[in-house]
Amino acid sequence: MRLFLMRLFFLLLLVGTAYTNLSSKAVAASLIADLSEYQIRIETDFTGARIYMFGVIDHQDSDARIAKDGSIDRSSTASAENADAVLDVIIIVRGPPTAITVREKQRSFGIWINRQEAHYSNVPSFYTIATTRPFDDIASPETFHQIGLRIENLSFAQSNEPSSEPPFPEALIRLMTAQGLYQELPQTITVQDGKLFRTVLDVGTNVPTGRYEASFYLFRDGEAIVATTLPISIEKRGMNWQIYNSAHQSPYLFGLFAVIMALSIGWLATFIARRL
Amino acid sequence: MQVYLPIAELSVNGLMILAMGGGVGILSGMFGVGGGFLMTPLLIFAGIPPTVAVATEANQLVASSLSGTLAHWRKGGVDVKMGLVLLAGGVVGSLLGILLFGELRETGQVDLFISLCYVVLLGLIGVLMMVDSLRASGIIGNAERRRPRAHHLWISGLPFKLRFRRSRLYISALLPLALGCLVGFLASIMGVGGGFIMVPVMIYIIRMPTAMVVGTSLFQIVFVTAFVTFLHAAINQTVDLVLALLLLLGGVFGAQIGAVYGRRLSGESLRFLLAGLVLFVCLVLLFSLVYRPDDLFSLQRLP
Repeated sequence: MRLFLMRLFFLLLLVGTAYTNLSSKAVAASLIADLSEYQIRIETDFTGARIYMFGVIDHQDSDARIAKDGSIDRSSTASAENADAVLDVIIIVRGPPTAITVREKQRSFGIWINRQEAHYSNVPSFYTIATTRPFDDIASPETFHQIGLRIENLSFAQSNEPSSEPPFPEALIRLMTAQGLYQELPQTITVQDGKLFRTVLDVGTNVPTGRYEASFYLFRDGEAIVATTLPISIEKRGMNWQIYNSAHQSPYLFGLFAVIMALSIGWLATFIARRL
Repeated sequence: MQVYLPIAELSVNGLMILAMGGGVGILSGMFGVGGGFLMTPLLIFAGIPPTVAVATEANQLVASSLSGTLAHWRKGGVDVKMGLVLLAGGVVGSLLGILLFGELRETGQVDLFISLCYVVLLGLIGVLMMVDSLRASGIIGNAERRRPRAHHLWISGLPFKLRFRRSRLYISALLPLALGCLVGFLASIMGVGGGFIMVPVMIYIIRMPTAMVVGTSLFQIVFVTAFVTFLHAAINQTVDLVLALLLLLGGVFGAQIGAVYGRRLSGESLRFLLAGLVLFVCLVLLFSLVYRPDDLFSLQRLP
C-alpha cells in the first residue's frame, strides 16, 4: 500500500511539473523566468522605464543548446530525435486591452478632414516580442499564426460597421508601431553558456497603465514546448495618480479646485507685487 | 527638467513651459492682450493635445484676469452692472460652447475645429494689429478720427434698456448679452479670454468710456474662464493640474515683469513685432491644415 501511494505521489508530481508543456513529444527541457521589476511607478519625473527579463533553460537533454547568434550548435551525430536540438526563447510583453478608434483623413475644401473611422474594442495597448534568433529560423509563419504570436497575427475585432475600403487594421498597427507601443525585436535576447538568457525591455513615457503580461516561450525544432507567464503592473503613483484619479472620480471637485488654485495664485501675485 | 502631465499623459520640459508662460505673460502685461489666443496655439505646437490645451489655458486665464481686474478695480475702472450683464451672456455662451465641444469630440473633429477657429481668429487679429501698429507709427492712414457722440440709430432702437451709471449709458441690455455670449462661446471652444473682441465692441459700439472698458472686460473674463474651467474639468476631464500650475506660475510672474517694463519699452516696433508673431502663428496653423499629413490615418484611445 505504501509503495502504491509513493508511486502515485511521484506520478502526480511528474504530472504537476509537466503541466506547462505544450508539445506532445517527450519533453526534455523546462524554463525558469524572472524580471528585474514587477511594478513600474510613474512619478512626476518619469522619463521611461527599463525592465530586465531573464531566466534559465533547464535542459535534461545535454546536446540541446540555445543557439547563439544564428549558428546552430550541433555537438553530436546521434539520432534525429534528441540530437541537434535547437532551443529558442521568445518573450512577449502584452499590455492591457483597450478601445481605439482609427480615422482616415480626406481632402475637403483644401484642408484635410477626418472622414471614415473604425472602432476596435479589444486592442492590446502594448506589444513587444523579442527572440534569440530571426523569426524565420525559429518557426514557420503558420506556427506563429497558430499560437497567435507576432504583430501580424494580432486580430482586431471591428465593433462598428465594417467599411471595406480603407486599410484600417494595417493603419492601426503602423500607428501603434510609430508610437513605440508595438515592437518586434528579433535577436535581442542574449545567451550565456547555452543556459542563461537575458534581454531588456525599454518603455517610453507614453506607455499605457494597467496590468501587463510577460510570456516566455521555449521553442524547439519549430514548435513551442514550454511557456510561462509573469505579470507586470504599470501604474501612476503618488501625486500623478492622485491627480488623475480625482480628475476622473470626482470631476466637479477637481474643477472647483482648479478654479480656486488659479484665483489664489492670481490674487497672491497681485498682493506680492503691491508689496514689492 | 522633465515633468509628467497626468491628464495629458505625456512628459514635457517643465522649464520650457514656465518660459512659455512667462513670455506670453510679459506680452500680456505689456499690451493688455495676448494671453489666451497666443498661449493655446503655442501649447498645441509644444505637443499638448488641443482639448487639454484649451481647458488648461482657460484655467490660467482666471489668474491673469483676476490680477488685472483687481488693479483696475482700485482705480474705479470696473462697471459692475455692465460686467454682470456681460457675464450672464457669457454663462449661456460657454454652455453652448461646451455642448459643441462634446459633439466635436464624439465625431473626432475637435482638433480640426479648434485649429480652423484659430486660423480665422489669429488672421483677423493679426491683420487688425498690423494695421493699427502701422497707423500708429504714421506709415499709413491718418491719426485717430473723432468718434461721433451718439450711438448708431438701430442700436438706440433696441428694447430692454438698462441704465449703467458708472459708464453713463442708457442702452439695451441685449448688446452686452450678445457680446458676452459670443465671448463665452469662444472661451470654451478655444481657451481664450475674449478681451480682444470685447474691448473694441465696448468702445466703438456700446460706447463705454475708455477708462471703464479694460477693467470691465477683465471682470467678465475672470468669471467666464472660471466657469469654463469648471465645465471642462467636470464634463471632459481635460484640465491638467500640473500643466496649469506651471502656466500659472510662469504667467503671473511674466505679467508682473511685463507691466513694469511695459511703460518703458512698449514702442511701435514692439507692437509691429507682436502683430507679426500673431500672423506667423496663424500661418503655421493654416499650413498644418493644408499640408498633406505624413500619415492620413490617426488613432484615438478611448478611456
